[in-house]
Amino acid sequence: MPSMKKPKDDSLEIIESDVLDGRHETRDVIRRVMRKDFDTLDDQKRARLIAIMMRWCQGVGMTREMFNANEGRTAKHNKMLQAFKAFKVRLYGISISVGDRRTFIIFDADTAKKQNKADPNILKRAKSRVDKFLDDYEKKEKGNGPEKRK
Amino acid sequence: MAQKSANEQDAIFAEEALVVEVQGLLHEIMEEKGISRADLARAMNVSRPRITQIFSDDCKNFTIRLLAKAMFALNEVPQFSRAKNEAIDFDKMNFDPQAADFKRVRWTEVFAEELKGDWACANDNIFDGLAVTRRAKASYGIAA
Repeated sequence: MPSMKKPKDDSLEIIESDVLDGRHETRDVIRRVMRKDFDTLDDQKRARLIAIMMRWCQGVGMTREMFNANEGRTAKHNKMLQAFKAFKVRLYGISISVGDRRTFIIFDADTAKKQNKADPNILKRAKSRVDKFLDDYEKKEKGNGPEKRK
Repeated sequence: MAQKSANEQDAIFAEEALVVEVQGLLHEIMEEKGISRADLARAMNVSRPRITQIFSDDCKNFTIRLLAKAMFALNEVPQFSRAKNEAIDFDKMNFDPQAADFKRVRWTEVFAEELKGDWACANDNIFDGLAVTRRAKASYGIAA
């Protein structure tokens, strides 16, 4: 089973996230507040999601059953929300550069979907979490001084 | 729900990884060649739902024959290769269950009544092909 590595670099501390897959130049990370949601999924769902995340990290093609590149944009930062999908579970997040690595950060999850259509309330919540995160992240980055900004 | 052993979990992860890999490969070829799922269904002479099934999460009824048919329809020849599972490094394996890295390597853990409650472990590589209980016995040097 792929190990859930603990973060070793400061960039992950800044975004308060753990790595789910990071064997390549890119990585998938999950916000620690979301970690329990992921860990409580059954093995098959987690296994498929991890396998899909590996493909994202490798930069290879994914089917529409695996990944939705357009779940709509956030209101404030106009950032595109995307989703990993497996067995009707959706993990919502965004792709940004953190510590010089392209990083997919997972902010929200819909683990109890009964149908294929996304739950609009969870989508809305995910987008609002992204906006709040980007507000805080910008502040933290500014706090580090312009010379440290990526 | 009964808790799965690490070995069972590994098997599930390996299975899903291969399913995703094959689905991804077919998808890549189709993207590259501009072939839609409807086109593929026609070329394979199967129904459109059959193709949907291939790409579904469950991926049920996706046989090697169907994969061969799909690859032929896509004018590709599949090639299979294998690689040693990185999680298993037999050279570094330690037979001592108390060793610090015991949990990090893949062992076959079996519970054999014959061993009167002792946990037994065996290295799949060494005892390959033997029945589970025999492996357990062999690891303890008991005649099977």
